[in-house]
Amino acid sequence: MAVLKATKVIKEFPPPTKNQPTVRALDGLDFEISGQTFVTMVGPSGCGKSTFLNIVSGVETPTSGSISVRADDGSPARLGYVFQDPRLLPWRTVVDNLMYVHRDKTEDKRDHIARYLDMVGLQGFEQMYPAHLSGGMQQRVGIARAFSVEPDLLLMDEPFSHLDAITARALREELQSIWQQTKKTVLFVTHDVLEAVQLSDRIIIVAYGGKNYADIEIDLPYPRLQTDRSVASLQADILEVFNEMESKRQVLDPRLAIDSGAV
Amino acid sequence: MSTVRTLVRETPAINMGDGIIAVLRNDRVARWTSRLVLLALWQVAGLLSQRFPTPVETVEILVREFQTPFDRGEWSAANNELVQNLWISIQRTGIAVFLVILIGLPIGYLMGRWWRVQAYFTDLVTVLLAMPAYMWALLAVMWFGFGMRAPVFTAVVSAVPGLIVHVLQGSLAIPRDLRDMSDAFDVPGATRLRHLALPSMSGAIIAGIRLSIIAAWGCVVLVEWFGSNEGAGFRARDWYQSAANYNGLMAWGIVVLVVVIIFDRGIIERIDRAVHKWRGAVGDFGAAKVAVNDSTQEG
Repeated sequence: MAVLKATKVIKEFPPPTKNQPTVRALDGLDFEISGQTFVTMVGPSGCGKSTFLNIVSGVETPTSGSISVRADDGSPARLGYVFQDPRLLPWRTVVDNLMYVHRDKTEDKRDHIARYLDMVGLQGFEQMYPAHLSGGMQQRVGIARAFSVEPDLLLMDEPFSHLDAITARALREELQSIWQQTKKTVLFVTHDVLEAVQLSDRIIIVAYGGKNYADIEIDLPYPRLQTDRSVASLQADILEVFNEMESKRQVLDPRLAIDSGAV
Repeated sequence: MSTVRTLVRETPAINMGDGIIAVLRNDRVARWTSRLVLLALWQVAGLLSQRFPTPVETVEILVREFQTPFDRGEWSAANNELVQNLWISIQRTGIAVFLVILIGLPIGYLMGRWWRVQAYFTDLVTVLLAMPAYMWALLAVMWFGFGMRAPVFTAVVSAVPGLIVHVLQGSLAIPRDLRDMSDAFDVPGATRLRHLALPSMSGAIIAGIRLSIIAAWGCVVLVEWFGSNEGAGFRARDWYQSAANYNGLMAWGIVVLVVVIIFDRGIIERIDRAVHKWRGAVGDFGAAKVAVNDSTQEG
């Protein structure tokens, strides 16, 4: 049974000024995600990826179409969310930031949380405030928080895009290892093709305007390193798909060739 | 070959030559110097003017107030003109501030959360802000007569709008990204209020309450001046009108000031520090000793 089913999702935002048309961020996005898979939505900036995650999490509502999110057994799904920035409460310690998203405030829950902090390598930092931690460590707290709710669907919105390259690379490798342990269903959003190839077992390419463009299954063994020849080769193939998508867009609207290049 | 060099830079010790500069730059020395200069200026002004009492004359009046039994009763350390009148004014201010918080906090918060509530209260708050406290004081004495109700009413209507405006600003400034995060994790409303909204607004709330206490205290003393037969304001007027004694007026003026300072420094600042302890913890990080690990590669 599909954990997430998106059917012809359209999202329009009101025009920024009176005389302009409405802004269509998503234009009939349509796909399903089954359990225990790591699916990545890849697309250029502004193609509506983050908007889609906001709709799935309930922060936004679709203009039309529907999204259903269910646990494997068909019950309403628990969601976890890792944002681009860590979004931690600066006045709460690391452990209290994790406790914040749990209804159960017992000592048992604290023990449960400690396991997830351990999993992301933050044992010993429980009583520190977020400002004491580096950007990478703060993002680890965000990842531990999302995994600690034991979500049926974990949403990750470009979680490494604000980090330096070395930290992001280390966290990508850690995420692979955590995912191998937990096998949670993940919907990951990025515009970094290499990141998508390294992490996911399925890639959905979203075109400008928020439309489905391609759906690619990846059957490479984990762990995958950026330097693996198979990863680099698949990255090149997917970049070709992006170039093709960009060319088609420019044929439809030649003015775009002036201000945008292929990926 | 690779070498790792570790440099430890410590805060330099103060030697005798730097002593005077260190004393002049000391925060506590600066505060006490300012207080002593004010005291000296006050003494000079008192010596130059017949109508301006010196610090010594002021203290003498306070001692006399302390030695006079309250309301011609039996004297005790608690039952004298100084302590009883002060206590009456403090009680009135306490009740007023409690009501100000009870009314101002939820209205300010809800105005920030829902535009409809903001639309409903904006004009009312503006009118209350624009109304001078002495107008309320006169009306309150006419409506309620002598007693507790007039000073408490005046203090509440004068201090509430200020607190509402502060809390409204705090409510509007609750970070949007943290609210979205709470939505995404479906955090219950009570948890959000306690762990997100209140800590986020705490700076604005404390600033608002601080001003409310000062405003309420001023209003209570003002109403007591012409609409009460007890309290700090009444006692100040009594010295001024009945005895034409500037020393008594000045002495009670000083008492009123000292109470505000004790409340502000002794209570509100401590609460502020306790609530914002996390900011201090951040500031302490690696402040005194800086260790620099400098790794160098050598051919």
